[in-house]
Amino acid sequence: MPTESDDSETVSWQSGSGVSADVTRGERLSEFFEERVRKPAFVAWADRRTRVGLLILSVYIGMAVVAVFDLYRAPSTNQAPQLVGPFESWGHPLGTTMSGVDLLSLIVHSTPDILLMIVAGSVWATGVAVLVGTLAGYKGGTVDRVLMSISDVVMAIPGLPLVIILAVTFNPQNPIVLGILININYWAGLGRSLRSQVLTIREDSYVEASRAMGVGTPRIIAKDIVPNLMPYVTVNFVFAARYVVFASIGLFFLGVLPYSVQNWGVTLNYAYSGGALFTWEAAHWLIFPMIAIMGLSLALILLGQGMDRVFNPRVRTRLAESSESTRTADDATEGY
Amino acid sequence: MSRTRDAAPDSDGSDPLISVDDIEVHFEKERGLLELFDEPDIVHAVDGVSVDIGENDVLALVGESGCGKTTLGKTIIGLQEPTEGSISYRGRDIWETKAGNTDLSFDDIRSSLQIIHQDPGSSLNPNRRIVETLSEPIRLTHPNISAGERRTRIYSLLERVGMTPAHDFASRYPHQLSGGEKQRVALARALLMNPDVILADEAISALDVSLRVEMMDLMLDLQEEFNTSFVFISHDLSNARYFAAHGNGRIGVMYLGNLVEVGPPDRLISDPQHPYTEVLRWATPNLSLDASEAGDPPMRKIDIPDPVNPPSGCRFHTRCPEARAVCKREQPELRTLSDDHRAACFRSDPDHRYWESDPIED
Amino acid sequence: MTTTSDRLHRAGDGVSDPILEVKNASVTYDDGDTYVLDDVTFSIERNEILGVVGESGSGKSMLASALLDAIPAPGHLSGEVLYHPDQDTTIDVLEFSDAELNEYRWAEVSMVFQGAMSSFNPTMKVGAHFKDTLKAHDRAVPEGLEFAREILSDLYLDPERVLDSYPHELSGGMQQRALIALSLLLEPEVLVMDEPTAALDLLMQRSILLLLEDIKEKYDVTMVFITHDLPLVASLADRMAVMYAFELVEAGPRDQLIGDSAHPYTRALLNSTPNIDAPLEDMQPIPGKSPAPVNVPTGCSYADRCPLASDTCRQQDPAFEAVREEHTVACHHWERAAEEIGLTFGEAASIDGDAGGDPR
Repeated sequence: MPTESDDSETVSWQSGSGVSADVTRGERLSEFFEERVRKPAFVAWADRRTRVGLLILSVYIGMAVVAVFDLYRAPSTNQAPQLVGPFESWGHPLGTTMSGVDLLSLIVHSTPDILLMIVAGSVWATGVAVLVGTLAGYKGGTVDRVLMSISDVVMAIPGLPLVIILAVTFNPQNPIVLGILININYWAGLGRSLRSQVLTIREDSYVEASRAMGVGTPRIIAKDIVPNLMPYVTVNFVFAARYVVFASIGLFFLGVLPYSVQNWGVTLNYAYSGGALFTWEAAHWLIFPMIAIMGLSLALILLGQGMDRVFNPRVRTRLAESSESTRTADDATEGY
Repeated sequence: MSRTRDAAPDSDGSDPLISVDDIEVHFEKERGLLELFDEPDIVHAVDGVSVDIGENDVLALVGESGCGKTTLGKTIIGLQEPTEGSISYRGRDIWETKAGNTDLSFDDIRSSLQIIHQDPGSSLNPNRRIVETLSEPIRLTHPNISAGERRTRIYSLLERVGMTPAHDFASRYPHQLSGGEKQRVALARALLMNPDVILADEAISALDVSLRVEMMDLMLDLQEEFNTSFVFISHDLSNARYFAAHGNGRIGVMYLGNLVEVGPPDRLISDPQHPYTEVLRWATPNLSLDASEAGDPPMRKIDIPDPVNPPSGCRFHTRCPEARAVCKREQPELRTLSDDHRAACFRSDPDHRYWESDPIED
Repeated sequence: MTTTSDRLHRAGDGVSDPILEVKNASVTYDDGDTYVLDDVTFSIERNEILGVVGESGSGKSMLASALLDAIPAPGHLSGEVLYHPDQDTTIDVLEFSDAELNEYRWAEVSMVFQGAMSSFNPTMKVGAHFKDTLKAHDRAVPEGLEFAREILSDLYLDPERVLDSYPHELSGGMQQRALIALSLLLEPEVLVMDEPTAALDLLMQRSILLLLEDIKEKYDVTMVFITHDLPLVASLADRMAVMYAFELVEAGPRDQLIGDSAHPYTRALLNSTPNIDAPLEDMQPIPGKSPAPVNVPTGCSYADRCPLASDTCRQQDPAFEAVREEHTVACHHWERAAEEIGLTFGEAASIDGDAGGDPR
């Protein structure tokens, strides 16, 4: 039986090569950084899609920072002449609305709330889905049946009417709460498909080896199962985020969600009822928010497509390492 | 229906390390919606096996696929609960211990029974570097060791299994290692738990033929040092013989869930007492020039019967060239023939009714 | 890399009626920097069973694909693959048009793949695979299926049951036999088998080997059996060839290759496989490992692991020499191999006595 004293008597643990394996805290930290931060970042950057996606996203984050720190004036009525066209003056580069509100400031100041909503919504959806899917898939039996029954019920509830009813009843103002609300039953379908993947991963030998070693279930799920799900999770994280974008804009446009929150959807609604669809002079009022929406969505798609390579250890080592001793035969020549 | 116990050659103390008593492991096949009201099909993976494993012992299990050797192996190391019968570790029932009813903690038992899998490709987590995979067992058995000391042990064991420079191999991911190297890491991971028994489940079958001897030598070298027993599962008789002979152990032959012959490798191979062992012997490739013109197989059918419906009486009677009518009705028990050689065949008993029975016509 | 001149090889290889000839076949990726098949030349005698032995990573699967001109892109196959449907005709396989290649593959030269489980479409019944093959080659389906039933029962399978099952409903051994039947469906002249018994257990492997002998007699096929398991193919083959690091290193009749091999690698390989009759002490693994395609050294690629290696070996790639009629080897020091590396099994052990050198 393994105890501390047994080892020292029977097994010699001295390293034959004399290489000292004493690792300082600093060394471990730098190893950690190398593996978990630098190499994934390198792989992410190497892919053109991720690069473009990140760049576009950084524009939005920049806008959010500007808004939070009030580096650009907040929107208010009659801060500028009405319906000024775009690119005409530096004071309001994107033009103004019919109420004299600067369009650029409208767009910029909506960004922090929208970003918060997106993050909250997708974290909620994927977080709960991962929890439910991995637990149900790994444990099986009663846990599985209970969790899947719950998610079946949740999936069956129509999403849009549910969100509308809840929004109208509780009238949430906080963007985080709004984000969660919009994605309130998104986790169910995702949880089910994650569960199927877990069922496959569970049969891999290394999972059984971990069980044989007596590793606890939470650690097995965290270390052995979830990392293999990450490509699927990131893609769905992005999908959930896009859903929040479109759903929130749509709901704001329809007037279901409260107008007190700054949102491009609100702007779109005003533009629409202000006849921007039919008048060329007011078209910019409709177009620029739409560009903002499309840009964010595009950034998320590109990011999602590029991110799954980051979680693939083969890609990570191929791109980030160049040492001869670890060089393996090209994928094309495998199986000769 | 109990069988004679197969005692290990050197058991310390009064209790053998692992003692398996008349276990049965039956699986229910999954039923579709339309079959919900029928009786479920039951796969009789292991049926009535008793065997003991001692300290520093080697037991090689051979048989065709579907004979239950993997299931028996996993039951021996406590990964599979038997549906009937009991299995004890140093005298305490393992599954009672799990329920908390004995003086041992299940954690202790769990960590002293380890496994090496057949497929090197899926035996290591592809997302973790070797050093992380090997830190896990140390963290479990010696939670108070510093990171530096952990590393030292990992590097030293990697060198012992022949992977130098150790720090280079340790920082690699599994896909950067060859199949043989991955198996050695799996062996290192098992050994770092300081186990009492390691189940090598076809651990060398996926390696190239020229690498298998190397791997077996490695396991045997480390066996002495780590004071571990091995249960070595193989479908190849010559590998099992090599391993059992060098490890001073036994070979156990399994057929459709039964242990049909157990004994020391040399005797088992040179003088098999069960017709099925003879068939395995015939099937083993042999480089001697005169043996390469082997004749027809010494059995009547090529395909193995369905384990859901095993044949009545002696399960081998449908393929046995020596089968007679009595073999259809009665199942032979594992009889002691000499010291440590046991076989389950009526032919080893000169007084049995077998000799008056009529041969089976096909 | 040397150019293995066919003059030398013809002189030694003793194949009088070749059905397939491979000349200077090379497969390269990266435009000529890395070779996964390096200038291989050999012939296959009509109606023989040729066993090709090599570790994984020796190029043997590439060789199998080359015979059918099926090297996957971006690999590029150069050299010649000559097919002789009868003694007087010679056809260059690599010059085939797509239509001709279609007819050649499966109807003239057919292949049995490793891993029957992944060679069948899991959504189609086995019978549907047979029908598809027949239709793809414009053969009459009813007659073809009759023939299929005959082959299946020769392989000890129940034809109706097998044809009507999905692949996962059959055991591993049955799937592999069904795959062999599928490859014989169009009555090919040559059957190339790449590790056909790899995932099967011992009894099934041995039984299938015996069946292959019967099949060869009845259907008049030439067989090329490619594997890493030397003892397995030794009982079946008429001639054998050994591959190492993407090159052919020795070829000859089976008895000579097993009992009196001339290449140090072949002898070491024979010594490293556990053999049921060999005394336990004499089994020795081969130290080191075979090179990856990017790392193949100049000179003889086995020099790093060879006990007979000299400076000549490291600088010059050995050419093929005739050990005797029909037995050729590519080694600078093959004459000494027999004395220095003793074989450890059966009659050979008693012949060589204590000359067993230690390859370590």
